[in-house]
Amino acid sequence: MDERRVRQLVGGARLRIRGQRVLEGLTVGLIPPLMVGAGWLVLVKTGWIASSTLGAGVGWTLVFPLAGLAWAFSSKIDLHAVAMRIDEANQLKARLTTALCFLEIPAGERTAFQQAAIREALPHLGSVRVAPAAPFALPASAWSLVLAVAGVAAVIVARPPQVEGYLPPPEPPPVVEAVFDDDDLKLAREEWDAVKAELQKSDTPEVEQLVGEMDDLLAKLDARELDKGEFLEAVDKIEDTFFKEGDEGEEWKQILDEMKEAGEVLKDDPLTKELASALKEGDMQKAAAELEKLGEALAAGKISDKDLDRLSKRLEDFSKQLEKNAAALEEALKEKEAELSRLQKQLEEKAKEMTPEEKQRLSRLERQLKELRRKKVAFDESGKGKTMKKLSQASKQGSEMASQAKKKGKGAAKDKAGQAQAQKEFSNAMKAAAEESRAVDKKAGEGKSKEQVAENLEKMKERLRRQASQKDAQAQAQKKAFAQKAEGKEPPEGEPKGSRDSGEKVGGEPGEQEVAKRDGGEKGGEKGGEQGEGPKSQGGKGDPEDAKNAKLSDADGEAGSQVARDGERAGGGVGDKKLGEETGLKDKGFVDTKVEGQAGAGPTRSEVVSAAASGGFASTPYREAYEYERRVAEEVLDQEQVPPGYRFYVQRYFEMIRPRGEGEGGGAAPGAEGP
Amino acid sequence: MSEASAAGRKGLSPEEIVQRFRADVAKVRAEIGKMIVGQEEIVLGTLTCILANGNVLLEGVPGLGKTMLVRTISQVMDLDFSRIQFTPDLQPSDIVGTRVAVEDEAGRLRFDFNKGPVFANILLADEINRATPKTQSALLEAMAEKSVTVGDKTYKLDEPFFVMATQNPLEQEGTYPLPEAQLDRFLYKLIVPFPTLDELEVIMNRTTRGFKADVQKVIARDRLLEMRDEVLNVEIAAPVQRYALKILRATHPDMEEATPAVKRFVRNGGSPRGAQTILLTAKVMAMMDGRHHVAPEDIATTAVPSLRHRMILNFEGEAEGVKADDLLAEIVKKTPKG
Repeated sequence: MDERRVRQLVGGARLRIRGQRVLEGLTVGLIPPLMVGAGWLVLVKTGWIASSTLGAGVGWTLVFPLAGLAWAFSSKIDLHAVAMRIDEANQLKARLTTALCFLEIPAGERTAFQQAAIREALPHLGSVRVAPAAPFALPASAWSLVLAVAGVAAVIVARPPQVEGYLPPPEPPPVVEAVFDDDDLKLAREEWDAVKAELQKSDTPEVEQLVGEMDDLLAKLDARELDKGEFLEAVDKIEDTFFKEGDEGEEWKQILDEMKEAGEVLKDDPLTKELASALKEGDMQKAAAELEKLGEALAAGKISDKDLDRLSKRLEDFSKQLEKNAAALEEALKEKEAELSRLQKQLEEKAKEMTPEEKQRLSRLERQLKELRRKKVAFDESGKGKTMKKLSQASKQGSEMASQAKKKGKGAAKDKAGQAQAQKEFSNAMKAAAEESRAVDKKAGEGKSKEQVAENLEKMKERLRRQASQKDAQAQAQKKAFAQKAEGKEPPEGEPKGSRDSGEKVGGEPGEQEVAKRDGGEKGGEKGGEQGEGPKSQGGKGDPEDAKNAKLSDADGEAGSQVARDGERAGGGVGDKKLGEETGLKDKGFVDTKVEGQAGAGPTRSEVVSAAASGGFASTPYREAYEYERRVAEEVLDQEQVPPGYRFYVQRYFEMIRPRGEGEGGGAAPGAEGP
Repeated sequence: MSEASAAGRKGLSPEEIVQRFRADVAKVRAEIGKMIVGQEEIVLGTLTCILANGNVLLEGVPGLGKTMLVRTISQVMDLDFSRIQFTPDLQPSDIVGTRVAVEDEAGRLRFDFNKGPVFANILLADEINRATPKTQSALLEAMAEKSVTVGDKTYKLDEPFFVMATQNPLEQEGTYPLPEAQLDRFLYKLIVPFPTLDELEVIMNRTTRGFKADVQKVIARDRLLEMRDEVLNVEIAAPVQRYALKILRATHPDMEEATPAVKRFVRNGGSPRGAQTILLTAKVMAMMDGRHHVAPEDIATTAVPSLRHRMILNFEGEAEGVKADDLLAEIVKKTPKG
C-alpha cells in the first residue's frame, strides 16, 4: 500500500511532466502551420492564389504539431529524477528517491538499512505535494504562438486593399538637370544662327524642315526642357534625317566630273575650246553661257559650214562620252543576257540534264543579270541618269541640227527660212543643254552647300561639347599648367599664373628676340600684328620685316590677340583657310629644303636612352600618359589661335607616337613618361 | 564489522543504531565544546574524519586551538595522543622510531625498536609542511596502511589511528608543500577560521582567569571503532551517488561536466579517493542527522572539504588568486541532482 503510494506520487509527477511536454510540443508545432496559414490567407485575399489550394498548401504543415505531440509522448522521463525533484520541492532530503530506488530491489534482498530507509520515507509521503515538483508552466514558445495566432486573426479580419477608386498620387514631373547655362545657350544660338544663314541660301523643303526642327529644339533648350546630352542627341537625329541621302551631292559631283571628262573631246576645237575650259573648271554657268553663245552664233549664221561640220562631230562625241556609262551598262547587260540565253539553249540540247557545276553557273549568271538590270533601272530612274540622258539628247540634237543646217545650207542655200529654222532648232538644243548644265551646277552646288551645313553643324556640336568641358575646373587647371609648361615656366603652387597677353621679353634659342607687344584687337594696327601672324618659316627676328613674311603665310586673318614671338612661334591671327586646305605658298616660289642636322654638345641617342633607363620605369602606363597629353594638347589647340599648318604638325606628332596594339597599353615605352 | 553483525550482535534495529550513533556524537561534541570555543565546523569536520576512519589537514594561523582540539578529542574518546612539531631537520626516524642497541641481562647486545610518536591513536603533525618531503613521506604508510615499516619489520599501528596535520598558510618561506600523493591521504582539508568577537571574548576569559575545563571521557575506544563500522551501513541511492560522482568529474577540466571556470583555472581534479571521501563522510553526516541514507545535501556539504586539497590549480588559476572553494561551490551549485 505504501509502496504504491510512493509510485503514485512519482507517477503523478511524471504525468504532469508529460502534460507539460505535450503543451510545449503542441505550442512549437502549431507555429509553422499558423505562419504558413497566415501567408496563405494573405495570398488568397490579395488574389495571388485560389482558395482551393488550402488543402495542398497548408495541410502538410499539420505534420509539425503531430511531430510535437509525438516528441511529447515518446520522450523518456527518468523516474528517479522525478523523485529527486519531488524530494527537492518538499525538502525530503532524498527520502522519496532512496525509497523508490530500494523499492525496486526485491523485498527479500533488501538490507535492514534499506528497509529502514523505506520506512523512514513513508511518514513523509502524506505531506508530499507533487505540483511544486512538476509545475505547469507557460511554454517557452507561447508568445511566439500568440503572435502567430494574432497574425492569422489580423489577416482574417483585415480587408484586402481596394484598388477601385484609389489612384496613386501623380508622379512628380521629371526634374531635368539644366546642364546648359546662359552662356551655353547663347553659344548654341549663335552657332545655329550661322548655320541657319548658310542653310537659307537654299530654299528646298528639306532645308525648311531642318530649320524648323532645329528652331523647335532651341526653343526647348530655352525652356530648359532638354539637357546637354538630349540636345546633342536630338541634333544627331536631325542630322541623320537631313543628311541620310548624303551621297546625292556626291552623285552630282560625279556628274560634273563626268562632264569634265566628256569636255576633253571639245578642247581642241576653237569653237568649243571655251566650253571645254568651262567644263574642266566645273563652271557650269560659264559652260551654259558658252553653249548659248554657240546657239546664237549658229542662229546668226556666223559659223561656216566647215566649222559646222566639225561642231556637229564634236557634239556627237560629247554626247557619246556622256552616254558612256549608260552604254557600258547596257552593253554588259546585253552580254549577260546573251550568255544566259546561250547557256539555256545548251541545256535544252542536253535534254535538260544539268551537272551541279552547270547549275551553279546558271544560278550565278541569273544573279549577275538580275543585279545588272537593277543597276540599269536605278541609273535610269535616278536624277543622275535622267540628267545625263537629257544632256546627251540635247548634245545629240545639237549635233543633228548642226548637220541638218549644213545640209540645208549646201543643198538649198536659198531656202533662207529652212536654214533659219534649223539654226533656231540648234540654238534651242544648245539652250536646253545649257539649261541642264545649270541644273547640274545647281544640284552640285546644293550638295556642296549641304556638305558645308553638315560640317557647320558638326562644328557647332563640338564647340558645345568643348564649352561644357572647358567649365571643368580641373581641365582648366590642366590647361593652364600645360600652357605654362609650353612657355618653359614652372607653374607655381596653386593657381598657375602667366597671361597670354603679358608681352614680356624673352630670350629665345635662336638669339635675342624682341617680343612684339600685341593687345589683340585694341592694338591691331601695329606692325606685325595687323594681319595676324602665320607660321614664320624662316625663323626671323622680331622686327617689322617679319610682318611681311607673315603676310605670305596662310593665316591672313585679323589682327592677332596674343604674344607672338616672331620667328619662333605661330602668330595670333585667324585665317580663313580650312584645316588642311591648300595654301597659296606654292605659287610664291618657295623651295622645300631639307636641312641637315649638326652634331651638337647634347647627348647622343644612346645616352638619352640609357639615362631614361637609369631613371627607372615610369609608373604611368603609356596609353594613359598619351591620352592625357593628347587631350590637353587638343584643348590648347582648340583654345589657342594656332595656324592650321602648325595644328597639322601637332596632330601628326601625336599620330606618330600613339600607342599601337593592345599589348602596348600597359607598357611604359616608348616615351614612358608620355609625350 | 558488517551491519548485520553489528546490529545482530547487539540486537539493535537500524533506527536504534542511528539514534545511538547520533546521541554519542552529540555527547562528544558537547564535551569538546567545554574546551573549544566556537569552531563548530572544524570540530564537526574533525569528528567526521575520525568516524570515517580518515585523516584531516587543518590550515590556519597559529593560536587557533588546533592542538587543544586534538588533545580534547583524545581525552573525550580515551585515545593516546602525541604531537610532533615538524621542522626542516626532522628525520623520519624521529617520527616512526628507531632501532637501538640494548644490552640484555646476559650482557649481550640486541637491537630493540624504540617506537616513535607515530605510535599513538591521534597524531598531531604540527606545521607538517616545514619538514622535508622525505620526512613527510614517512607518514604516508602510517596514514594509508596504518602500519610502520622499520628495517625489515612492519609494525601495525593501534586502532584507531588518526593523523591531524596542520600547516600555516602565512609563513610559506622555507616550507615544503605537501605532494599530491600525501594530500590525497587526507580526507578533509579544513580551513580554521579566525574566531568571532564573541568567541574571542570567551577564549580570553577562559585563558586569562585560570579556567580549567573538566573534560571527561564520553565514549570508549571500542565504541569509536563500532561507530566507524556502523557508518559503513548507511545506504545511498543510486541517483545520489551519481550526484557525488558528477561533482567529482566536474573538477576535471577535460570532463564534459566541468564548468568554464574549472576548464580555465584547474590543472588536475580530484582522484577517485576524493569520491570515496565524499561518500564516506556523507554517510557520517547522514548518521549524525539521524538518517539511514545519504541525501544530496550531505554530498554538497562534504564535497568542498573533501575536494579542495585535491584540485590542483594551473598557473593562471594561481596567478588570478582563484580559490578552490569558490570553484567547488560553483560546481556543487550547477551539478544537477539525480
